[in-house]
Amino acid sequence: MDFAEDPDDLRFRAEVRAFLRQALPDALATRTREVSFLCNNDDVLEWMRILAGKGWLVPFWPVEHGGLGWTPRQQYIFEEECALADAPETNMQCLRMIGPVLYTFGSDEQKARFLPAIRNAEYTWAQGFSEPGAGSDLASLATTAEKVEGGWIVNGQKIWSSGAAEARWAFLLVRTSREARPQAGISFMMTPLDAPGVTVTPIRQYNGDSHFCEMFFDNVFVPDDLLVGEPGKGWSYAKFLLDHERTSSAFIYWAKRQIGRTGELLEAMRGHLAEDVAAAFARRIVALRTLVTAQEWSVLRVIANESSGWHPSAIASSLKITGARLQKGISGLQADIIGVKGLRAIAHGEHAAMREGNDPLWPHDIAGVTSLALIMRAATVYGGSEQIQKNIIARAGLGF
Amino acid sequence: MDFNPDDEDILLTGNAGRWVSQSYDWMQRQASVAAGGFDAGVWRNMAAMGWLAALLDEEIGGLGLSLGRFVLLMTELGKGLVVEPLVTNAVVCAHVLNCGAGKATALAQSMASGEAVLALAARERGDWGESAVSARRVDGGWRLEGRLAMVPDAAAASHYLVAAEADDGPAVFVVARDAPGLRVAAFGLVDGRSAADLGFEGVTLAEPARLLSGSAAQLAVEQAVDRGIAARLGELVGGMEACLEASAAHLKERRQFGQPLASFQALQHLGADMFVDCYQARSMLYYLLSRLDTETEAQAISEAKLLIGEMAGKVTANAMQAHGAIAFTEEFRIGHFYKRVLATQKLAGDEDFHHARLARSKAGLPCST
Repeated sequence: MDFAEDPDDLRFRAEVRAFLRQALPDALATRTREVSFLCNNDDVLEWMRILAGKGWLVPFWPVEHGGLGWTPRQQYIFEEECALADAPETNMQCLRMIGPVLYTFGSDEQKARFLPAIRNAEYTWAQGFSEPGAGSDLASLATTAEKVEGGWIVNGQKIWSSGAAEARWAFLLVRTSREARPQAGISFMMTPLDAPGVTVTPIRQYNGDSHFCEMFFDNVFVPDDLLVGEPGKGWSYAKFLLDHERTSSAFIYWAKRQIGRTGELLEAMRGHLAEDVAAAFARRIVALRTLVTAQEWSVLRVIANESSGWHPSAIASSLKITGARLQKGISGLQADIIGVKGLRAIAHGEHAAMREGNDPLWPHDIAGVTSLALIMRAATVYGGSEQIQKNIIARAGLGF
Repeated sequence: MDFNPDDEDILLTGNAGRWVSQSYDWMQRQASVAAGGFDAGVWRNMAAMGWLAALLDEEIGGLGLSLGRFVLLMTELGKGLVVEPLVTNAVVCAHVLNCGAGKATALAQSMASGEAVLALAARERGDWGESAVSARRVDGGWRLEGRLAMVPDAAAASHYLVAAEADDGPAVFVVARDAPGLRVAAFGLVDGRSAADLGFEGVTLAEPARLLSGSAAQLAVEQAVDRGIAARLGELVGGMEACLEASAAHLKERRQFGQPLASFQALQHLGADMFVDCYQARSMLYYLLSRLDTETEAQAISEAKLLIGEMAGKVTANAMQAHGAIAFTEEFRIGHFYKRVLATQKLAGDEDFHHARLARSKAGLPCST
């Protein structure tokens, strides 16, 4: 075993930091610090375009599609530094979902049509997988695509599509046939969200945001050239995405930035707190930071391709579980630190006024903190619930 | 010991349960939130039910009921996630008015009828920053200066019972909403209730506006806040049990992988965990009821707030996990139970506050004699 950091990687980290200092606008970083889950889509696109300009938007893609051949460690360093600098998170649906599916399974025509737009950050994409009746049991999805001349007619409903109201395109899992095994009848299609018959409705969340949307499909025509790969193979493409992204559900970059932010919040509040109360918060930060370290080293093992005896799915699920605990624990501690004033319902639109208001009774440090803690309660629900992750570990990891 | 409700308990809780089903369904509740935490029709309704008069002394026009019965009433109202300032008026302010020994009979009667809506304006326990009101003697009365941040339920109030530091010690003043020099900046809390920052810029009051003074004033406010906690804990227990009932029904009904969610052992255990926490929370509530209006009332309130608060947090979090993504939407009521727990945990002293209060009291330490 060798845990020494490669000197090239240290140089790379310095290079990334210098780039961020120069290229990340202060206003973007300030607004990112106040978000509760998703950045404003304009901010996301602005940052993606800055990265695209540097050629750093898709460094983890294969070189022939615009990747840079960075090592997994370098990719990790890059994403960590972006998070620490409060850069907006990029649109994962483009860069880590539809992009990889298209360059792996798409036709040449589809690659030529869509990959450049993604590389140039022209617009964002939305994912249409979950349905009201198909959550944990995604394979039971019921949005149908009926074969017609030149394409398909899609009818159904998708739900919890993050950012769909601002996205231009969506990729969908739809049922194209009824088979004994439900997975075998699922296909992967794409549609522009302004196609006739498509309705996108944001869902109001209980924390005041509305990032997640419903997408209704009422006799939507999807031409043949927007089917990805082969009919009936959609489930395998979705599985490819899951296998492809073993560490993104660990939320390690978020955790590293936010544990630091928690310390910053405590320092901002310290003058107001009794000594023993501040000391108790400090101890809680220490405990969580230790868990962040453990999570980081778990992620490093995976990206270094450690030849562990465990099934990779079990490890990915394990990281998701510990990642969700950190999301809930860190955001919850932040909400505790700001105290009773965190109960105020502060809409996202009020953040700027709070920042400029300089009211000593309402320091703008508290903006977004409670909203974040509230939506983070869903960390054990989205991306596969904690119960599902444990089932995967039991089956794939322990052979139960 | 008799843990079965008596006829009066049944009457009160039965009425409240029916009232929630018929007059405060989810749509009404959301309408009340949208209206800033107060619907005038609902308030009139509550007055008609006698709830506003319930805890006022009979001498000043109230029904003189015990706080314990009101706490049981709250277990029913807890299922409805009421946002109107019932506890603030009927429990908290009623106690201050009772301590006023007849000096505020007119106001008490007005509150009982639903005409006057009150809020207690005092520095929130555990709050930080310069949140205080001073009262200086002037010719014929008093002059109030200062700021109080985030006074709960303050937006709909027509009158404030203001805890201020006067020249001669603590005091409670009655201040009308339209008093010159009073600034009210209202906003919402995450659990649907209203609050406001209050600014006192030379608010001038005549002498009769001082309702209480000295240590009596301080004690009245402390007790009032504590008794409000007791009512809120009843509300939490009702809310937890509503979450348990809803989660059990959901798990039995919702199907994935060809079977009801309730057939999965992990979720059966989740339901069982909720059951255990609910049972214990109600037990703690009964302990609290046994100590109300005794000399260990304050201590029992702190203990109960710690235990019931923790259990309520776990149960509502589990209810959200059981319901999945829909629990995180504004439209679905389950997530709102969690937010009510959050608010109740932090207001009137958080866990640190009540731990410290118990540690300070001799009776609070397990080894002390």
